[in-house]
Amino acid sequence: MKNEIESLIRLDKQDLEKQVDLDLFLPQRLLARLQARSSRQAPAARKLAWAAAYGLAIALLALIHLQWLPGPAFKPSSGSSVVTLTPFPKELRNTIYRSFIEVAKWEK
Amino acid sequence: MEPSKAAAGADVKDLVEKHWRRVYKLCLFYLRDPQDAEEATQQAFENILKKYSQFQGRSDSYTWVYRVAVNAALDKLRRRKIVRWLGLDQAGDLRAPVASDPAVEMERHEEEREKLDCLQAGIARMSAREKKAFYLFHYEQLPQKEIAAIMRVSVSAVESLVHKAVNKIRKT
Repeated sequence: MKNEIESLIRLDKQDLEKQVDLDLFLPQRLLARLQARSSRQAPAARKLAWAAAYGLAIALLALIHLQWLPGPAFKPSSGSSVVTLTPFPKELRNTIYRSFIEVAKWEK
Repeated sequence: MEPSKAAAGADVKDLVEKHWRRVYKLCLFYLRDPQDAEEATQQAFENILKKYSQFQGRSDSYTWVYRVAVNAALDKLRRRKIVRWLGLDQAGDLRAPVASDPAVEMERHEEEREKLDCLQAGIARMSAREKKAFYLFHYEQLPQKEIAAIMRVSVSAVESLVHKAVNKIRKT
């Protein structure tokens, strides 16, 4: 049994090696993309964009957790318009949480 | 060093030429898809370049490269699972398996193919840590001490992880 597993591993390893050998031009492609990417990237702007995206996501999650989402604005007869918060369905919130749990399971 | 500066130098070329096979093979092992493996390899090198100053002159550069490569492959795997879960992956299960070269496949007996499928099913059942230890031990044939350094665990933990990983293949 042990020998059988070892020979299977050897076979699989050979397959991987063969596939690596098939990709002869991979280093050139990698180099070209790395150089192209480094010449056009703007690290500060990108970091700022990511920070904004994370901030928005966290704010949205907080609202979902509290079961509230920004709702449509309504204008009371007295004058200035206000933005109301409408209830967020509990079932949908739980579905979102369950999906997070599923993703966490994949990580294991 | 900034990635842009590092990328401009000849060091990057050396870095890619020295490590691409190792990184790409590891990504292929994890992802079993040449295109995904290439993307993960690309990401691994980008991550290496981001921390290029830490990398330069390190005696344990291999250890570091393995660690970054494993993380890039796992990240890609995670994204692929999410894309599949969301139903956005049009390729689905139609992805070409590793070694889909017709000449290779012709040589392969049906029985052998089935056994390899069993091996891959066993690998799929391994935890991330077991898979990492299993790959480094059986495919890269690194000494347990080096694997322990890469995984930041004890040598006995490596031994145990490899043992558990092989048992999962046995049970498949």
